[in-house]
Amino acid sequence: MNEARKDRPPLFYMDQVPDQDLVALSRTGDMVAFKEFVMRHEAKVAGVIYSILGQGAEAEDVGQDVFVKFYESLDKFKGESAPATYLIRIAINQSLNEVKKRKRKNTLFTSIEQGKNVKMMDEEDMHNVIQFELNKLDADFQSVVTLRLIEGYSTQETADILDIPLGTVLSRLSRAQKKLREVLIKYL
Amino acid sequence: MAKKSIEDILMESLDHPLTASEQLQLDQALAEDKTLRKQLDQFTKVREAMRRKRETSFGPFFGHRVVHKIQNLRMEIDHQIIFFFKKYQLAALGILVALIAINAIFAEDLTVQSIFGVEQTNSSSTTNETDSISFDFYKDLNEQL
Repeated sequence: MNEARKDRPPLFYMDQVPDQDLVALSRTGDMVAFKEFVMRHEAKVAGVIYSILGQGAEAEDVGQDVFVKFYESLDKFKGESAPATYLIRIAINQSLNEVKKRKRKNTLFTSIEQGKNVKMMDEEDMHNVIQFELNKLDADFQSVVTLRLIEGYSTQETADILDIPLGTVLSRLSRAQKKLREVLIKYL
Repeated sequence: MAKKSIEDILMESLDHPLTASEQLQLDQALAEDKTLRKQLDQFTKVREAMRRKRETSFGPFFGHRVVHKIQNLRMEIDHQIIFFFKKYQLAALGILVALIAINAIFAEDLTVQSIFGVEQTNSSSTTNETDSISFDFYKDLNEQL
């Protein structure tokens, strides 16, 4: 660990250290480097998790678990993909696992599903409806929609993160969007 | 390869660049088909609604909290290892105490050596024994000569 500290760039320079180097330093137990990595990618991970789980303490717990899991798998990470890609893949998987665990029902959704309050919906309600409908999709479709439509990754980036062919991304997107249009169009 | 339907081309146009011929085909279809235009409009609206900007932070000091959690997990693992071996340590200590007790009970005298089972060696007696062996050896030798 002392060796890692000796080799580590000065603290004021840490924000310019490439991800690969931060990962290499983290692997030697350098927690300052890992903290920099967490801070750098928090927003991306938060975006993915909040898109699937919504905001709240549980989402934050999942966020922490994602980074802990990433840290624990540093030895296994061979660098075939970018660290951020690998991290987002973990975030997607952890979030979908949490969705499976939850299977919760929100009373707001029931009233919206019954056709009430549609005209009174604000942006937050709309977000909840989207999230609810998204959670009803199969995990494979949900992950593609989250990355491409909500987080704005390109189709190729989505394919890389999920480690699936580009054609599969396009076909899943197409099917998911058709389903979402059917259920969401009445709110738009 | 199966020919793509105009709906497939429409969907693909939302996420991926089309070939020149596909683009032409789509433009023509959109110009002629009102339903297709409505579909495109709906898909665009759905996508816009989904793209709404959301909170992208887990709150202040998130990095610090993650590092703290990792360090806590490490300590927890250390404690688990210590706890795992603690029972073996206690068992070994118990056996040691039992052996000492047995030695103490069956010892002829209650000296530290006898309790711990250490063999008593007497330097003077050892010397005498060596001397007697030497004497016997020379006595035998003389008789033989």
